[in-house]
Amino acid sequence: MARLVRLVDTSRRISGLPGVLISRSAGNWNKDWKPGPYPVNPEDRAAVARKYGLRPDEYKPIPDDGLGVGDYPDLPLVTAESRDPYYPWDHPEHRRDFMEPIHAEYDMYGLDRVNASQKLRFSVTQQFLAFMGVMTFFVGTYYLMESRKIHWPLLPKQYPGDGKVHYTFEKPE
Amino acid sequence: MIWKISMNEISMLGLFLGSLITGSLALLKIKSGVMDVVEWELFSLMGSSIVFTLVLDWISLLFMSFVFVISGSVLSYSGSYMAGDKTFNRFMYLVLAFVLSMSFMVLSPNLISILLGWDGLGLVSYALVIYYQNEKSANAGMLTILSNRVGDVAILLGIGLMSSLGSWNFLFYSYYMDESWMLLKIFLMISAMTKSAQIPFSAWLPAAMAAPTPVSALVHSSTLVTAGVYLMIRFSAALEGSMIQSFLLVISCLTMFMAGLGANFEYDLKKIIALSTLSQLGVMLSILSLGFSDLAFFHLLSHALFKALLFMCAGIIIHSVGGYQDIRFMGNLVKFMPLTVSYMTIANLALCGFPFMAGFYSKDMILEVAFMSWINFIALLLYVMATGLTVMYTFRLIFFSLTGEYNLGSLSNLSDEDFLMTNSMSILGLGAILGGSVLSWMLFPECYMICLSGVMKMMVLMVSILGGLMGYILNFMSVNYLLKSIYNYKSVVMMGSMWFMPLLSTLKLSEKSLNMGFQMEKVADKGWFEFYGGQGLYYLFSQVFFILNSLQLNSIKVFMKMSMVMIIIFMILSM
Amino acid sequence: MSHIVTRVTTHSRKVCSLYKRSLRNLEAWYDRRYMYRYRAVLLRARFDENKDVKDMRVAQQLLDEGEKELFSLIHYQPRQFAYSPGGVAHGREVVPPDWVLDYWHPMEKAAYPEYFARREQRKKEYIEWWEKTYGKPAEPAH
Repeated sequence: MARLVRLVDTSRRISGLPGVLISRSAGNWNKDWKPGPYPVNPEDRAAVARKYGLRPDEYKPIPDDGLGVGDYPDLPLVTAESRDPYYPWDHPEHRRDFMEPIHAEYDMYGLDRVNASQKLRFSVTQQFLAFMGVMTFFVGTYYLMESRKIHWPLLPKQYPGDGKVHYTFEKPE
Repeated sequence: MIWKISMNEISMLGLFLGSLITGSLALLKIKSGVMDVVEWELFSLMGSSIVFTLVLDWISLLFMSFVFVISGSVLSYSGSYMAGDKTFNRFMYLVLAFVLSMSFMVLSPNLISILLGWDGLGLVSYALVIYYQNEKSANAGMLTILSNRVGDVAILLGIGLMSSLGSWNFLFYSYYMDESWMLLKIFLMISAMTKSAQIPFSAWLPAAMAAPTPVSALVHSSTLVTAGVYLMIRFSAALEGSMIQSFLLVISCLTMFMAGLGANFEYDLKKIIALSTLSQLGVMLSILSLGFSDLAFFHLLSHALFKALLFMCAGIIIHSVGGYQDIRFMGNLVKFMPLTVSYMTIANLALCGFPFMAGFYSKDMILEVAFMSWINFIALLLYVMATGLTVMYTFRLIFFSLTGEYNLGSLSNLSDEDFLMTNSMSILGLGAILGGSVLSWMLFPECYMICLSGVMKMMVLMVSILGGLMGYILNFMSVNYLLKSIYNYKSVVMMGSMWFMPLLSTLKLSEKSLNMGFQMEKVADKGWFEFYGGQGLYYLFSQVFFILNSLQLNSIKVFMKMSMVMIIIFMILSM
Repeated sequence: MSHIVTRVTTHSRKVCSLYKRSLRNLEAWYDRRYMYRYRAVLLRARFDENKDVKDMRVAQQLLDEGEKELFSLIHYQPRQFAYSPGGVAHGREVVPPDWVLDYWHPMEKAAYPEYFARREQRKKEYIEWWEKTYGKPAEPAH
């Protein structure tokens, strides 16, 4: 592996071209982005709040469950799609401002993802029940009637002999 | 060079030529009744032979001919429609790739080689839906491809099941599939349902209208969405007398009804037509599940003609009213663009089954055959209502956009003097008028014997007339100072948004899976995998290497300890 | 709208916003112009009824009720202008921003030497102009 990397590196240096990229990290990473330790005493909290550009009374860290969120603030989720499209955002493609503190999972709720924070006229449960109700009604009735299919007779019934009564349905003597 | 400049004309000519060739070959095949199968055996493995098969019978050749003629018209049409676009060549190549994968789909009777075309259709349709690069298209494209992916996976599972047969040629094997092949039938039904957007999967078809209009005319009305019906037609021998038939019947009838209702409350011009496509797909699949696959094929062909025409008219209208698709922004177009409006009316009448237009021969026959057969009452009821609803939404469309008051923002370039667009519609216009009768003479040399009582015979006509009257009068009345739909808000919203299906299959599903992925990442990636994987291995290795390190110190104490342990072990073992 | 309040929205502006959104909603329901105008006049009359309410508590309550009523009658497919956000044709053509050129590879840039030389010159001039006009930017506290 190391030889391969060295080879690619040399080829890049010799040719002056970008060379073959065999591996790269998916994104840039910066140590400034790493959240600090979970703040315990009020002074820490105030300092952290200033770091995230929040007022000390607004700042509320995500509860520390040992999974490394650190001092990141617990902010309400306002997804990109439910933000005002007419506001002059600094990053209009993400609908966020520069240095704006955002929800920890904001990248999960971009414009091309779900709008999780929208106010629905009918809740998802209501919609699901309405859809399932209609479907159950139709499909259920259909399968109830499956044994009694209908068919229109195309001709009057024909019996041998014209006008002769074959079965009188009287009690046999 | 000349290819780059006039790509659309050259490909149009080529496609028309291809259409002529395949069409005349299809005529020969109908006459002779011969089916040609071309097979290349690629390799054979463990008794199962992997072959690449092309089937050339009248069904595939006729379908190919229709695909070619529609795509030729659409390509010529998009020469003007997409003229202002920067990446016109990309569009052209995508459409040609679509035609190619469609031909693979149509010509292969083999489950593996059909997957090639089937996946190609999904991929190209995704690329065409996201052709415009806004978020709306991206989301619609995602919905399209993920819904179609369900069907692709079903076909893959079907391939796995069929491998026990040693061959994947369902054209032959479908005659010998009894009840023990139920699972395969279910898989193929699911794949047909996703491609043809039947009920649990129908959200993608209206969403796919984010594609450019020529794409909608070719892909989402006449060819791609009928791929599912085509697969079922090929597979129809296996469906005969199985449980699938009754299930497919109720699902397709419900789709037909739901789409008809939805189109009556929809405001987007293209989505109305998409919902009407959905309704007609329901008609095709329902008559197929009643056991008349030739009628389904007949309706597939005639529907392709007038639905492509309808979309092309909609494209001209959208172009000339300045990008708007909302029918509330239109009105009284008949004064400004008479030619387009007359084409649109022809297509609409054909869709409604106006006597002696294209739709009349197929749709009327389908309904009469359905009335004649032993049928479930619910299915019959849905048939009748959906027929009425078809005429109803057509008249609503006519009321809103073609007649009525002028409702537009500006008077700019409202005309149909774009001859490239109007000329390319002429073939399809002819097809919408004559297609049905010609096809019915061609496909059915012996007539279907329809034997119905007078009331039932007139039923279709009566329901259509009633639906048309209701559509026009209700709109006339409901467009009122006191809007009725506000008073029935809940039901109107439910019907207008396709029984909440789009929202349920987008928001609900993706939100759930996103949250699930987030939890998995938290618990697995950052949790247990980290604990036992990264950190755990680090701990383990550091312990092991600590011991190994101490060995390398050459300390006499360590060696003595080790030899002591060895001696003890030997003593225990030797006892 | 983000959760952080950066602008003060006055009560009258909220009422105006509600009025405008209600008008748009009416326009979506009543699609013929004259019917819409009739309804719009009625709506205006309803807003005008309470225009002289001076008690802010009552006014706030009225506003909340108005919002609630609008939400209960919101149209399922609102009329959107085609090229505005939410419209069908919004954002169809993406214009790549100018700074993309700065991230070209030097090899790619070398294909257009004159253009990029002038571009660098212009950038320098712009920075000079900026510093002359507004002064040097303050170093942000890190």
